[in-house]
Amino acid sequence: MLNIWSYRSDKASRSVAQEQQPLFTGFNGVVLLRNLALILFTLVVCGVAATYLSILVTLIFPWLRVNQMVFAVMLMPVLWGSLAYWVCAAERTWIAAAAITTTGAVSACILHGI
Amino acid sequence: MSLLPSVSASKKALHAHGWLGLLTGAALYFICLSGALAVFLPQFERWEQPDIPEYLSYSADNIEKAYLTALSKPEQLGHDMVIRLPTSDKPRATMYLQDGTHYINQDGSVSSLANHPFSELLVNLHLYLHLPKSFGMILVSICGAIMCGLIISGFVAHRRIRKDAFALRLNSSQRTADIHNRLSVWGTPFYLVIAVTGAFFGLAAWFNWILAETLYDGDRSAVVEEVYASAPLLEGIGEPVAISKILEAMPAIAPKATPFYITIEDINTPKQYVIVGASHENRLIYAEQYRFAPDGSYLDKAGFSDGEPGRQVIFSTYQIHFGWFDGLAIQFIYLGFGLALTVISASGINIWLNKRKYRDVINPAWEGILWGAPLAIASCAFTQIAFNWISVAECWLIILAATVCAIAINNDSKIKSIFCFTTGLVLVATSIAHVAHFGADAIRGVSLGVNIAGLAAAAFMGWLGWRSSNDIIKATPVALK
Repeated sequence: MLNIWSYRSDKASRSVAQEQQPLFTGFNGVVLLRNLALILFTLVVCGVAATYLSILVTLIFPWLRVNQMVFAVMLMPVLWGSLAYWVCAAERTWIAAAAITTTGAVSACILHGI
Repeated sequence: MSLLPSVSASKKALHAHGWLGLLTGAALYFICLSGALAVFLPQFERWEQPDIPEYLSYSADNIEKAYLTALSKPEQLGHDMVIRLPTSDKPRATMYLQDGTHYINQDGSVSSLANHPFSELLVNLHLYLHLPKSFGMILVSICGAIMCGLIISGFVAHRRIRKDAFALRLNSSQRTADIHNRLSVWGTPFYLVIAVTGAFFGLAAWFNWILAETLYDGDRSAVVEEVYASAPLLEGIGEPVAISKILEAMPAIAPKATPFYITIEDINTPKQYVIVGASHENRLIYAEQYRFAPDGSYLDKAGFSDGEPGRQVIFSTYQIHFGWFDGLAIQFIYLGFGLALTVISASGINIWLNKRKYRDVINPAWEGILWGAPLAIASCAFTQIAFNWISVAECWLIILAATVCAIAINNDSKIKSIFCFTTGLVLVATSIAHVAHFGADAIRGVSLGVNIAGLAAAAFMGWLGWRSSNDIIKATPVALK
Protein backbone atom coordinates (compact mmCIF):
# COMPACT_ATOMS: atom_id res chain seq x y z
CA MET A 1 0.00 0.00 0.00
CA LEU A 2 1.37 3.39 -0.97
CA ASN A 3 0.53 5.81 1.80
CA ILE A 4 0.82 9.05 -0.12
CA TRP A 5 -1.37 11.04 2.24
CA SER A 6 -1.13 11.24 5.97
CA TYR A 7 -3.60 14.09 6.38
CA ARG A 8 -6.10 13.66 9.20
CA SER A 9 -8.91 16.13 9.57
CA ASP A 10 -9.24 17.74 13.00
CA LYS A 11 -12.98 17.89 12.48
CA ALA A 12 -13.01 14.15 11.94
CA SER A 13 -12.44 13.68 15.65
CA ARG A 14 -15.82 15.34 16.25
CA SER A 15 -17.64 12.69 14.28
CA VAL A 16 -20.18 11.02 16.53
CA ALA A 17 -21.19 7.75 14.94
CA GLN A 18 -18.13 6.46 13.12
CA GLU A 19 -14.82 5.18 14.29
CA GLN A 20 -12.06 7.60 13.34
CA GLN A 21 -9.78 6.50 10.54
CA PRO A 22 -7.26 8.55 8.54
CA LEU A 23 -9.24 10.40 5.88
CA PHE A 24 -6.62 9.85 3.20
CA THR A 25 -5.26 6.32 3.19
CA GLY A 26 -3.52 6.11 -0.19
CA PHE A 27 -3.94 3.56 -2.97
CA ASN A 28 -2.42 0.43 -4.44
CA GLY A 29 -0.68 1.13 -7.77
CA VAL A 30 -1.11 -2.39 -9.17
CA VAL A 31 -4.80 -2.47 -8.33
CA LEU A 32 -5.19 0.98 -9.88
CA LEU A 33 -3.53 -0.13 -13.14
CA ARG A 34 -5.65 -3.28 -13.28
CA ASN A 35 -8.81 -1.27 -12.78
CA LEU A 36 -7.79 1.26 -15.43
CA ALA A 37 -7.26 -1.58 -17.90
CA LEU A 38 -10.66 -3.01 -16.98
CA ILE A 39 -12.31 0.40 -17.42
CA LEU A 40 -10.76 0.73 -20.88
CA PHE A 41 -11.89 -2.76 -21.77
CA THR A 42 -15.49 -2.44 -20.53
CA LEU A 43 -16.03 1.03 -21.96
CA VAL A 44 -14.28 0.66 -25.32
CA VAL A 45 -13.56 -2.94 -26.38
CA CYS A 46 -16.87 -4.33 -25.08
CA GLY A 47 -18.71 -1.48 -26.85
CA VAL A 48 -17.03 -2.11 -30.20
CA ALA A 49 -17.48 -5.88 -29.90
CA ALA A 50 -21.16 -5.46 -28.92
CA THR A 51 -21.77 -3.20 -31.92
CA TYR A 52 -20.35 -5.63 -34.49
CA LEU A 53 -21.84 -8.66 -32.80
CA SER A 54 -25.34 -7.18 -32.59
CA ILE A 55 -25.27 -6.24 -36.29
CA LEU A 56 -24.03 -9.70 -37.25
CA VAL A 57 -26.63 -11.46 -35.11
CA THR A 58 -29.55 -9.44 -36.52
CA LEU A 59 -28.47 -10.08 -40.11
CA ILE A 60 -29.32 -13.74 -39.50
CA PHE A 61 -33.01 -12.90 -39.21
CA PRO A 62 -34.99 -12.83 -42.47
CA TRP A 63 -36.26 -9.32 -41.89
CA LEU A 64 -36.22 -6.13 -43.89
CA ARG A 65 -33.03 -4.10 -43.49
CA VAL A 66 -34.74 -1.33 -41.48
CA ASN A 67 -36.02 -3.86 -38.93
CA GLN A 68 -32.64 -5.56 -38.70
CA MET A 69 -30.88 -2.26 -38.06
CA VAL A 70 -33.32 -1.05 -35.41
CA PHE A 71 -33.21 -4.42 -33.63
CA ALA A 72 -29.40 -4.25 -33.67
CA VAL A 73 -29.49 -0.73 -32.17
CA MET A 74 -31.73 -1.95 -29.34
CA LEU A 75 -29.76 -5.14 -28.79
CA MET A 76 -26.35 -3.46 -28.65
CA PRO A 77 -26.56 -1.81 -25.17
CA VAL A 78 -27.85 -5.04 -23.62
CA LEU A 79 -25.04 -6.98 -25.25
CA TRP A 80 -22.50 -4.34 -24.20
CA GLY A 81 -23.66 -4.51 -20.59
CA SER A 82 -23.61 -8.31 -20.67
CA LEU A 83 -20.05 -8.41 -22.02
CA ALA A 84 -18.94 -5.87 -19.41
CA TYR A 85 -20.55 -8.03 -16.71
CA TRP A 86 -18.85 -11.16 -18.05
CA VAL A 87 -15.37 -9.66 -18.12
CA CYS A 88 -15.79 -8.26 -14.59
CA ALA A 89 -17.19 -11.50 -13.19
CA ALA A 90 -14.78 -13.88 -14.89
CA GLU A 91 -12.36 -15.72 -12.61
CA ARG A 92 -9.67 -15.44 -15.28
CA THR A 93 -10.28 -11.99 -16.66
CA TRP A 94 -7.87 -12.39 -19.54
CA ILE A 95 -9.75 -15.41 -20.95
CA ALA A 96 -13.03 -13.46 -21.03
CA ALA A 97 -11.20 -10.44 -22.47
CA ALA A 98 -9.58 -12.57 -25.18
CA ALA A 99 -12.90 -14.24 -26.05
CA ILE A 100 -14.68 -10.89 -26.33
CA THR A 101 -11.89 -9.36 -28.40
CA THR A 102 -11.79 -12.36 -30.74
CA THR A 103 -15.57 -12.45 -31.16
CA GLY A 104 -15.66 -8.71 -31.87
CA ALA A 105 -12.75 -8.96 -34.33
CA VAL A 106 -14.26 -11.94 -36.19
CA SER A 107 -17.64 -10.17 -36.41
CA ALA A 108 -15.96 -7.03 -37.73
CA CYS A 109 -14.00 -9.03 -40.33
CA ILE A 110 -17.17 -10.78 -41.55
CA LEU A 111 -19.11 -7.51 -41.77
CA HIS A 112 -16.30 -5.60 -43.48
CA GLY A 113 -15.82 -8.52 -45.85
CA ILE A 114 -12.19 -9.03 -44.93
CA MET B 1 -33.36 -28.47 -11.47
CA SER B 2 -33.03 -25.07 -9.87
CA LEU B 3 -33.27 -22.04 -12.08
CA LEU B 4 -31.22 -20.11 -9.55
CA PRO B 5 -27.60 -19.35 -10.43
CA SER B 6 -24.98 -21.18 -8.37
CA VAL B 7 -23.54 -19.61 -5.24
CA SER B 8 -20.24 -19.11 -7.01
CA ALA B 9 -21.93 -17.45 -10.04
CA SER B 10 -23.85 -15.16 -7.68
CA LYS B 11 -20.67 -14.18 -5.86
CA LYS B 12 -18.92 -13.37 -9.11
CA ALA B 13 -21.96 -11.47 -10.33
CA LEU B 14 -21.99 -9.47 -7.10
CA HIS B 15 -18.35 -8.59 -7.61
CA ALA B 16 -19.03 -7.49 -11.20
CA HIS B 17 -22.16 -5.60 -10.09
CA GLY B 18 -20.16 -3.73 -7.46
CA TRP B 19 -17.35 -2.88 -9.88
CA LEU B 20 -19.66 -1.67 -12.66
CA GLY B 21 -21.73 0.23 -10.09
CA LEU B 22 -18.68 2.01 -8.74
CA LEU B 23 -17.55 2.84 -12.27
CA THR B 24 -20.79 4.55 -13.23
CA GLY B 25 -22.64 5.10 -9.92
CA ALA B 26 -21.87 8.78 -9.45
CA ALA B 27 -22.58 9.62 -13.10
CA LEU B 28 -25.79 7.58 -12.98
CA TYR B 29 -26.84 9.47 -9.85
CA PHE B 30 -26.59 12.84 -11.65
CA ILE B 31 -28.19 11.45 -14.82
CA CYS B 32 -31.11 9.88 -12.94
CA LEU B 33 -31.73 12.83 -10.62
CA SER B 34 -31.75 15.35 -13.46
CA GLY B 35 -33.68 12.93 -15.69
CA ALA B 36 -36.40 12.42 -13.07
CA LEU B 37 -36.85 16.20 -12.83
CA ALA B 38 -36.54 16.70 -16.59
CA VAL B 39 -39.72 14.66 -17.05
CA PHE B 40 -41.44 17.94 -16.12
CA LEU B 41 -39.41 20.01 -18.57
CA PRO B 42 -42.50 21.35 -20.41
CA GLN B 43 -43.87 22.58 -17.07
CA PHE B 44 -40.51 24.07 -15.99
CA GLU B 45 -40.25 25.99 -19.27
CA ARG B 46 -43.69 27.50 -18.73
CA TRP B 47 -42.86 28.23 -15.06
CA GLU B 48 -39.75 30.17 -16.06
CA GLN B 49 -41.79 32.43 -18.35
CA PRO B 50 -45.29 32.47 -16.86
CA ASP B 51 -46.11 35.84 -18.42
CA ILE B 52 -46.18 34.48 -22.00
CA PRO B 53 -49.78 34.38 -23.31
CA GLU B 54 -51.00 30.82 -23.76
CA TYR B 55 -53.57 29.53 -26.23
CA LEU B 56 -54.63 26.25 -27.82
CA SER B 57 -56.68 27.40 -30.82
CA TYR B 58 -54.84 29.02 -33.69
CA SER B 59 -55.63 29.98 -37.24
CA ALA B 60 -53.58 28.57 -40.12
CA ASP B 61 -53.44 32.08 -41.64
CA ASN B 62 -51.75 33.46 -38.51
CA ILE B 63 -49.13 30.69 -38.50
CA GLU B 64 -48.43 31.54 -42.14
CA LYS B 65 -48.19 35.22 -41.19
CA ALA B 66 -45.47 34.37 -38.61
CA TYR B 67 -43.64 32.30 -41.23
CA LEU B 68 -43.74 35.18 -43.76
CA THR B 69 -42.47 37.59 -41.08
CA ALA B 70 -39.47 35.32 -40.51
CA LEU B 71 -39.00 34.92 -44.26
CA SER B 72 -38.64 38.69 -44.64
CA LYS B 73 -35.42 38.50 -42.61
CA PRO B 74 -33.26 36.00 -44.56
CA GLU B 75 -30.32 36.51 -42.17
CA GLN B 76 -32.48 34.87 -39.46
CA LEU B 77 -33.05 31.70 -41.46
CA GLY B 78 -30.98 28.57 -41.02
CA HIS B 79 -30.95 25.40 -43.10
CA ASP B 80 -34.41 24.44 -41.86
CA MET B 81 -37.22 26.24 -40.07
CA VAL B 82 -39.24 24.60 -37.32
CA ILE B 83 -42.57 25.99 -36.15
CA ARG B 84 -44.06 24.35 -33.06
CA LEU B 85 -47.81 24.60 -32.78
CA PRO B 86 -49.57 25.01 -29.42
CA THR B 87 -50.49 21.76 -27.64
CA SER B 88 -52.12 21.01 -24.28
CA ASP B 89 -48.76 20.34 -22.55
CA LYS B 90 -47.17 23.39 -24.19
CA PRO B 91 -49.88 25.84 -25.20
CA ARG B 92 -47.44 28.25 -26.86
CA ALA B 93 -46.48 28.40 -30.55
CA THR B 94 -42.78 28.86 -31.20
CA MET B 95 -40.49 29.36 -34.16
CA TYR B 96 -36.80 28.37 -34.20
CA LEU B 97 -34.64 31.03 -35.88
CA GLN B 98 -30.89 31.70 -35.97
CA ASP B 99 -30.94 33.95 -32.89
CA GLY B 100 -33.01 31.50 -30.84
CA THR B 101 -36.59 30.38 -30.31
CA HIS B 102 -39.28 33.04 -30.71
CA TYR B 103 -42.83 32.83 -29.42
CA ILE B 104 -45.65 33.36 -31.91
CA ASN B 105 -48.62 35.34 -30.61
CA GLN B 106 -52.15 34.19 -31.33
CA ASP B 107 -52.52 36.99 -33.93
CA GLY B 108 -49.49 35.66 -35.83
CA SER B 109 -47.01 38.34 -34.77
CA VAL B 110 -43.55 37.11 -33.78
CA SER B 111 -42.95 37.78 -30.11
CA SER B 112 -40.08 37.70 -27.60
CA LEU B 113 -37.35 35.09 -27.35
CA ALA B 114 -37.97 31.97 -25.31
CA ASN B 115 -35.78 32.15 -22.22
CA HIS B 116 -35.66 29.17 -19.87
CA PRO B 117 -32.03 28.70 -18.83
CA PHE B 118 -32.85 26.63 -15.73
CA SER B 119 -34.72 24.06 -17.83
CA GLU B 120 -31.77 24.01 -20.24
CA LEU B 121 -29.30 23.53 -17.39
CA LEU B 122 -31.36 20.64 -16.07
CA VAL B 123 -31.75 18.88 -19.40
CA ASN B 124 -28.09 19.49 -20.32
CA LEU B 125 -27.07 17.84 -17.05
CA HIS B 126 -29.18 14.83 -18.00
CA LEU B 127 -28.07 14.63 -21.63
CA TYR B 128 -24.40 15.66 -21.40
CA LEU B 129 -23.46 15.94 -17.70
CA HIS B 130 -22.56 19.55 -18.68
CA LEU B 131 -19.61 18.23 -20.70
CA PRO B 132 -18.97 19.18 -24.35
CA LYS B 133 -22.09 17.91 -26.12
CA SER B 134 -20.68 15.21 -28.42
CA PHE B 135 -18.45 13.73 -25.71
CA GLY B 136 -20.99 14.14 -22.92
CA MET B 137 -23.78 12.46 -24.84
CA ILE B 138 -21.59 9.45 -25.66
CA LEU B 139 -20.54 9.18 -22.01
CA VAL B 140 -24.16 9.32 -20.81
CA SER B 141 -25.16 6.70 -23.38
CA ILE B 142 -22.31 4.43 -22.28
CA CYS B 143 -23.73 4.71 -18.76
CA GLY B 144 -27.02 3.44 -20.26
CA ALA B 145 -25.24 0.40 -21.69
CA ILE B 146 -23.44 -0.28 -18.41
CA MET B 147 -26.79 0.06 -16.64
CA CYS B 148 -27.97 -2.92 -18.69
CA GLY B 149 -24.96 -4.83 -17.32
CA LEU B 150 -25.85 -3.70 -13.79
CA ILE B 151 -29.43 -4.94 -14.19
CA ILE B 152 -28.33 -8.36 -15.48
CA SER B 153 -25.55 -8.82 -12.92
CA GLY B 154 -27.87 -7.59 -10.15
CA PHE B 155 -30.38 -10.32 -10.95
CA VAL B 156 -27.73 -13.05 -11.06
CA ALA B 157 -26.22 -11.79 -7.79
CA HIS B 158 -29.56 -11.71 -5.99
CA ARG B 159 -30.15 -15.36 -5.05
CA ARG B 160 -32.89 -14.53 -2.54
CA ILE B 161 -34.89 -12.65 -5.13
CA ARG B 162 -38.09 -14.68 -4.53
CA LYS B 163 -37.73 -15.04 -0.76
CA ASP B 164 -37.03 -11.35 -0.30
CA ALA B 165 -39.52 -10.15 -2.90
CA PHE B 166 -41.46 -8.15 -0.30
CA ALA B 167 -38.83 -7.76 2.43
CA LEU B 168 -38.25 -4.21 3.54
CA ARG B 169 -36.44 -4.21 6.89
CA LEU B 170 -36.24 -0.46 7.45
CA ASN B 171 -35.11 -0.74 11.07
CA SER B 172 -32.30 -3.21 10.60
CA SER B 173 -28.79 -3.12 9.22
CA GLN B 174 -30.31 -4.49 5.99
CA ARG B 175 -32.13 -1.19 5.42
CA THR B 176 -29.95 0.19 2.61
CA ALA B 177 -29.61 -3.19 0.89
CA ASP B 178 -33.37 -3.84 1.11
CA ILE B 179 -34.24 -0.45 -0.32
CA HIS B 180 -31.68 -0.94 -3.11
CA ASN B 181 -32.87 -4.47 -3.95
CA ARG B 182 -36.63 -3.91 -3.72
CA LEU B 183 -36.58 -0.74 -5.82
CA SER B 184 -34.27 -2.44 -8.34
CA VAL B 185 -36.23 -5.66 -8.74
CA TRP B 186 -39.72 -4.17 -8.98
CA GLY B 187 -38.75 -1.44 -11.41
CA THR B 188 -36.56 -3.55 -13.69
CA PRO B 189 -38.70 -3.42 -16.87
CA PHE B 190 -38.78 0.38 -16.66
CA TYR B 191 -35.06 0.70 -15.96
CA LEU B 192 -34.16 -1.63 -18.83
CA VAL B 193 -36.28 0.39 -21.26
CA ILE B 194 -34.76 3.64 -20.01
CA ALA B 195 -31.23 2.22 -20.28
CA VAL B 196 -31.69 0.91 -23.84
CA THR B 197 -33.44 4.02 -25.17
CA GLY B 198 -30.97 6.28 -23.33
CA ALA B 199 -28.02 4.44 -24.86
CA PHE B 200 -29.60 4.82 -28.31
CA PHE B 201 -29.57 8.65 -28.29
CA GLY B 202 -25.82 9.06 -27.86
CA LEU B 203 -24.65 5.98 -29.71
CA ALA B 204 -26.87 6.44 -32.79
CA ALA B 205 -24.14 8.35 -34.65
CA TRP B 206 -21.52 5.69 -33.86
CA PHE B 207 -23.93 2.93 -34.89
CA ASN B 208 -24.85 4.82 -38.07
CA TRP B 209 -21.15 5.01 -38.99
CA ILE B 210 -20.55 1.29 -38.46
CA LEU B 211 -23.74 0.36 -40.36
CA ALA B 212 -22.76 2.65 -43.24
CA GLU B 213 -19.22 1.23 -43.40
CA THR B 214 -20.35 -2.40 -43.24
CA LEU B 215 -23.64 -2.45 -45.17
CA TYR B 216 -23.83 0.72 -47.31
CA ASP B 217 -20.29 1.29 -48.66
CA GLY B 218 -19.74 4.20 -46.28
CA ASP B 219 -22.90 6.08 -47.30
CA ARG B 220 -24.26 7.34 -43.97
CA SER B 221 -27.22 9.17 -45.50
CA ALA B 222 -28.38 5.85 -46.98
CA VAL B 223 -28.66 4.44 -43.43
CA VAL B 224 -30.66 7.45 -42.30
CA GLU B 225 -32.97 7.19 -45.33
CA GLU B 226 -33.52 3.47 -44.74
CA VAL B 227 -34.62 4.06 -41.15
CA TYR B 228 -36.26 7.51 -41.29
CA ALA B 229 -37.53 7.44 -44.93
CA SER B 230 -35.84 9.24 -47.78
CA ALA B 231 -36.46 12.91 -48.50
CA PRO B 232 -38.73 13.67 -51.45
CA LEU B 233 -36.86 14.83 -54.54
CA LEU B 234 -38.26 18.19 -55.58
CA GLU B 235 -37.07 20.85 -58.02
CA GLY B 236 -38.85 24.09 -57.24
CA ILE B 237 -37.74 27.69 -57.30
CA GLY B 238 -37.54 28.27 -53.57
CA GLU B 239 -40.93 29.98 -53.52
CA PRO B 240 -42.72 30.78 -50.19
CA VAL B 241 -44.46 27.78 -48.69
CA ALA B 242 -48.26 27.62 -48.55
CA ILE B 243 -48.40 26.95 -44.79
CA SER B 244 -52.05 27.88 -44.47
CA LYS B 245 -53.14 25.56 -47.30
CA ILE B 246 -51.10 22.69 -45.83
CA LEU B 247 -52.56 23.05 -42.33
CA GLU B 248 -56.09 23.28 -43.72
CA ALA B 249 -55.53 20.09 -45.73
CA MET B 250 -54.43 18.06 -42.71
CA PRO B 251 -57.89 17.11 -41.31
CA ALA B 252 -58.77 15.52 -44.64
CA ILE B 253 -55.43 13.68 -44.95
CA ALA B 254 -55.23 12.43 -41.34
CA PRO B 255 -58.53 13.03 -39.52
CA LYS B 256 -57.37 11.45 -36.25
CA ALA B 257 -53.93 13.11 -36.15
CA THR B 258 -53.14 16.37 -34.36
CA PRO B 259 -50.45 18.48 -36.06
CA PHE B 260 -47.96 19.92 -33.56
CA TYR B 261 -44.98 20.98 -35.61
CA ILE B 262 -44.09 22.13 -39.11
CA THR B 263 -40.59 21.82 -40.52
CA ILE B 264 -39.53 23.50 -43.75
CA GLU B 265 -36.50 21.50 -44.87
CA ASP B 266 -33.84 23.18 -47.05
CA ILE B 267 -35.74 26.43 -46.70
CA ASN B 268 -35.64 28.88 -49.64
CA THR B 269 -33.86 26.39 -51.90
CA PRO B 270 -35.23 24.51 -54.94
CA LYS B 271 -35.21 21.31 -52.83
CA GLN B 272 -37.36 22.70 -50.02
CA TYR B 273 -40.31 20.66 -48.77
CA VAL B 274 -42.58 20.72 -45.76
CA ILE B 275 -43.04 18.17 -42.98
CA VAL B 276 -46.09 18.35 -40.74
CA GLY B 277 -45.48 16.33 -37.59
CA ALA B 278 -48.72 15.04 -36.08
CA SER B 279 -49.35 13.08 -32.93
CA HIS B 280 -51.63 10.04 -33.01
CA GLU B 281 -53.79 9.24 -30.01
CA ASN B 282 -52.89 6.09 -28.03
CA ARG B 283 -49.62 5.68 -29.91
CA LEU B 284 -46.11 5.88 -28.47
CA ILE B 285 -44.63 7.32 -31.67
CA TYR B 286 -43.38 10.89 -31.33
CA ALA B 287 -45.15 11.86 -34.56
CA GLU B 288 -46.12 10.75 -38.02
CA GLN B 289 -44.53 12.98 -40.64
CA TYR B 290 -46.81 14.15 -43.45
CA ARG B 291 -44.82 15.63 -46.31
CA PHE B 292 -45.90 18.38 -48.67
CA ALA B 293 -44.49 20.27 -51.66
CA PRO B 294 -44.05 24.04 -51.14
CA ASP B 295 -47.25 24.75 -53.12
CA GLY B 296 -49.23 22.77 -50.53
CA SER B 297 -49.75 19.57 -52.53
CA TYR B 298 -49.56 16.43 -50.37
CA LEU B 299 -46.71 14.06 -51.20
CA ASP B 300 -46.73 11.16 -48.73
CA LYS B 301 -46.08 10.19 -45.12
CA ALA B 302 -42.88 8.79 -43.63
CA GLY B 303 -44.55 5.68 -42.18
CA PHE B 304 -43.78 6.07 -38.49
CA SER B 305 -47.40 5.25 -37.59
CA ASP B 306 -48.04 2.26 -39.83
CA GLY B 307 -44.79 1.46 -41.61
CA GLU B 308 -42.25 -1.24 -40.81
CA PRO B 309 -42.05 -2.17 -37.07
CA GLY B 310 -38.44 -0.94 -36.95
CA ARG B 311 -39.46 2.51 -38.12
CA GLN B 312 -42.28 2.65 -35.56
CA VAL B 313 -39.97 1.54 -32.76
CA ILE B 314 -37.23 4.03 -33.57
CA PHE B 315 -39.70 6.93 -33.57
CA SER B 316 -41.10 5.83 -30.21
CA THR B 317 -37.81 5.90 -28.27
CA TYR B 318 -38.06 9.61 -27.47
CA GLN B 319 -41.54 9.40 -25.95
CA ILE B 320 -40.75 6.18 -24.10
CA HIS B 321 -37.55 7.59 -22.62
CA PHE B 322 -38.95 10.91 -21.40
CA GLY B 323 -42.51 9.88 -20.54
CA TRP B 324 -44.09 12.63 -22.62
CA PHE B 325 -47.23 10.78 -23.61
CA ASP B 326 -50.71 10.53 -22.13
CA GLY B 327 -50.36 13.52 -19.85
CA LEU B 328 -49.55 14.24 -16.22
CA ALA B 329 -50.24 10.78 -14.77
CA ILE B 330 -47.49 9.22 -16.90
CA GLN B 331 -45.15 12.08 -15.99
CA PHE B 332 -45.67 11.39 -12.28
CA ILE B 333 -45.09 7.66 -12.81
CA TYR B 334 -41.85 8.49 -14.63
CA LEU B 335 -40.88 10.88 -11.82
CA GLY B 336 -41.44 8.06 -9.31
CA PHE B 337 -39.36 5.53 -11.25
CA GLY B 338 -36.71 8.16 -12.02
CA LEU B 339 -36.33 9.02 -8.34
CA ALA B 340 -36.28 5.30 -7.50
CA LEU B 341 -33.40 4.87 -9.94
CA THR B 342 -31.66 7.85 -8.30
CA VAL B 343 -32.03 6.17 -4.90
CA ILE B 344 -30.74 2.88 -6.36
CA SER B 345 -27.64 4.63 -7.77
CA ALA B 346 -26.93 6.34 -4.46
CA SER B 347 -27.71 3.36 -2.23
CA GLY B 348 -25.54 1.08 -4.38
CA ILE B 349 -22.49 3.18 -3.57
CA ASN B 350 -23.59 3.43 0.08
CA ILE B 351 -23.72 -0.39 0.28
CA TRP B 352 -20.17 -0.57 -1.07
CA LEU B 353 -19.02 2.06 1.43
CA ASN B 354 -20.65 0.20 4.33
CA LYS B 355 -19.06 -3.09 3.27
CA ARG B 356 -15.59 -1.55 3.48
CA LYS B 357 -15.92 -1.50 7.31
CA TYR B 358 -13.76 1.60 7.53
CA ARG B 359 -14.11 5.27 6.74
CA ASP B 360 -11.81 7.46 4.73
CA VAL B 361 -12.21 10.60 2.67
CA ILE B 362 -14.53 8.87 0.15
CA ASN B 363 -17.33 8.49 2.75
CA PRO B 364 -17.92 12.17 3.54
CA ALA B 365 -17.01 13.25 -0.02
CA TRP B 366 -19.71 10.98 -1.46
CA GLU B 367 -22.20 12.22 1.14
CA GLY B 368 -21.36 15.79 0.06
CA ILE B 369 -21.90 14.97 -3.63
CA LEU B 370 -25.11 13.09 -2.82
CA TRP B 371 -26.77 15.91 -0.91
CA GLY B 372 -24.95 18.72 -2.69
CA ALA B 373 -26.54 17.85 -6.06
CA PRO B 374 -30.17 18.65 -5.09
CA LEU B 375 -28.93 21.77 -3.32
CA ALA B 376 -27.06 22.85 -6.46
CA ILE B 377 -30.08 22.30 -8.70
CA ALA B 378 -32.38 24.17 -6.29
CA SER B 379 -29.85 27.01 -5.97
CA CYS B 380 -29.61 27.36 -9.76
CA ALA B 381 -33.40 27.65 -9.96
CA PHE B 382 -33.33 30.27 -7.19
CA THR B 383 -30.62 32.48 -8.70
CA GLN B 384 -32.32 32.29 -12.11
CA ILE B 385 -35.70 33.40 -10.73
CA ALA B 386 -34.40 35.91 -8.16
CA PHE B 387 -31.49 37.47 -10.04
CA ASN B 388 -31.97 36.29 -13.65
CA TRP B 389 -28.54 34.69 -13.37
CA ILE B 390 -27.54 31.08 -13.73
CA SER B 391 -24.47 29.17 -14.88
CA VAL B 392 -23.11 25.67 -15.14
CA ALA B 393 -20.13 26.80 -13.03
CA GLU B 394 -22.54 27.79 -10.25
CA CYS B 395 -24.03 24.31 -10.23
CA TRP B 396 -20.69 22.51 -10.00
CA LEU B 397 -19.08 24.99 -7.60
CA ILE B 398 -21.94 24.37 -5.17
CA ILE B 399 -21.43 20.60 -5.48
CA LEU B 400 -17.67 21.11 -4.96
CA ALA B 401 -18.26 23.35 -1.94
CA ALA B 402 -20.72 20.81 -0.52
CA THR B 403 -18.11 18.08 -0.93
CA VAL B 404 -15.42 20.14 0.81
CA CYS B 405 -17.82 21.03 3.65
CA ALA B 406 -18.84 17.38 4.00
CA ILE B 407 -15.18 16.28 4.29
CA ALA B 408 -14.69 18.95 6.96
CA ILE B 409 -17.82 17.85 8.89
CA ASN B 410 -17.11 14.11 8.39
CA ASN B 411 -20.37 12.95 9.93
CA ASP B 412 -22.93 11.46 7.55
CA SER B 413 -26.04 12.30 9.57
CA LYS B 414 -24.88 15.85 10.16
CA ILE B 415 -24.00 16.32 6.48
CA LYS B 416 -27.38 14.99 5.36
CA SER B 417 -29.23 17.07 7.93
CA ILE B 418 -27.48 20.34 7.04
CA PHE B 419 -27.80 19.94 3.27
CA CYS B 420 -31.42 18.76 3.41
CA PHE B 421 -32.45 21.74 5.54
CA THR B 422 -30.51 24.12 3.26
CA THR B 423 -32.08 22.63 0.12
CA GLY B 424 -35.53 22.96 1.70
CA LEU B 425 -34.90 26.61 2.52
CA VAL B 426 -33.64 27.34 -1.00
CA LEU B 427 -36.74 25.69 -2.48
CA VAL B 428 -39.01 27.83 -0.29
CA ALA B 429 -37.00 30.93 -1.27
CA THR B 430 -37.36 30.01 -4.96
CA SER B 431 -41.15 29.82 -4.74
CA ILE B 432 -41.27 33.13 -2.83
CA ALA B 433 -38.95 34.76 -5.39
CA HIS B 434 -41.12 33.44 -8.22
CA VAL B 435 -44.26 34.99 -6.73
CA ALA B 436 -42.42 38.25 -5.98
CA HIS B 437 -41.06 38.42 -9.54
CA PHE B 438 -44.08 37.36 -11.58
CA GLY B 439 -46.97 38.36 -9.27
CA ALA B 440 -50.36 37.00 -10.34
CA ASP B 441 -48.81 34.94 -13.16
CA ALA B 442 -46.97 32.88 -10.53
CA ILE B 443 -50.12 31.75 -8.75
CA ARG B 444 -52.14 30.35 -11.61
CA GLY B 445 -52.01 27.36 -13.93
CA VAL B 446 -48.78 25.47 -14.32
CA SER B 447 -46.74 28.04 -12.37
CA LEU B 448 -48.91 27.53 -9.32
CA GLY B 449 -48.48 23.77 -9.68
CA VAL B 450 -44.69 24.02 -9.92
CA ASN B 451 -44.51 26.41 -6.96
CA ILE B 452 -46.66 24.11 -4.82
CA ALA B 453 -44.53 21.13 -5.91
CA GLY B 454 -41.44 23.15 -4.90
CA LEU B 455 -42.91 23.78 -1.44
CA ALA B 456 -43.85 20.09 -1.10
CA ALA B 457 -40.29 19.14 -2.05
CA ALA B 458 -39.03 21.65 0.53
CA ALA B 459 -41.21 20.03 3.20
CA PHE B 460 -39.88 16.59 2.24
CA MET B 461 -36.27 17.78 2.40
CA GLY B 462 -37.02 19.38 5.76
CA TRP B 463 -38.42 16.07 7.02
CA LEU B 464 -35.33 14.21 5.78
CA GLY B 465 -33.14 16.77 7.53
CA TRP B 466 -35.15 16.48 10.75
CA ARG B 467 -34.86 12.67 10.67
CA SER B 468 -31.11 12.89 10.20
CA SER B 469 -30.75 15.41 13.02
CA ASN B 470 -32.52 12.85 15.26
CA ASP B 471 -29.97 10.25 14.13
CA ILE B 472 -27.15 12.55 15.31
CA ILE B 473 -28.72 12.78 18.76
CA LYS B 474 -29.49 9.04 19.04
CA ALA B 475 -26.16 7.84 17.65
CA THR B 476 -23.60 6.26 19.92
CA PRO B 477 -19.98 5.63 18.97
CA VAL B 478 -19.62 2.32 17.12
CA ALA B 479 -16.32 0.71 16.23
CA LEU B 480 -16.51 -0.27 12.58
CA LYS B 481 -13.24 -2.14 12.52
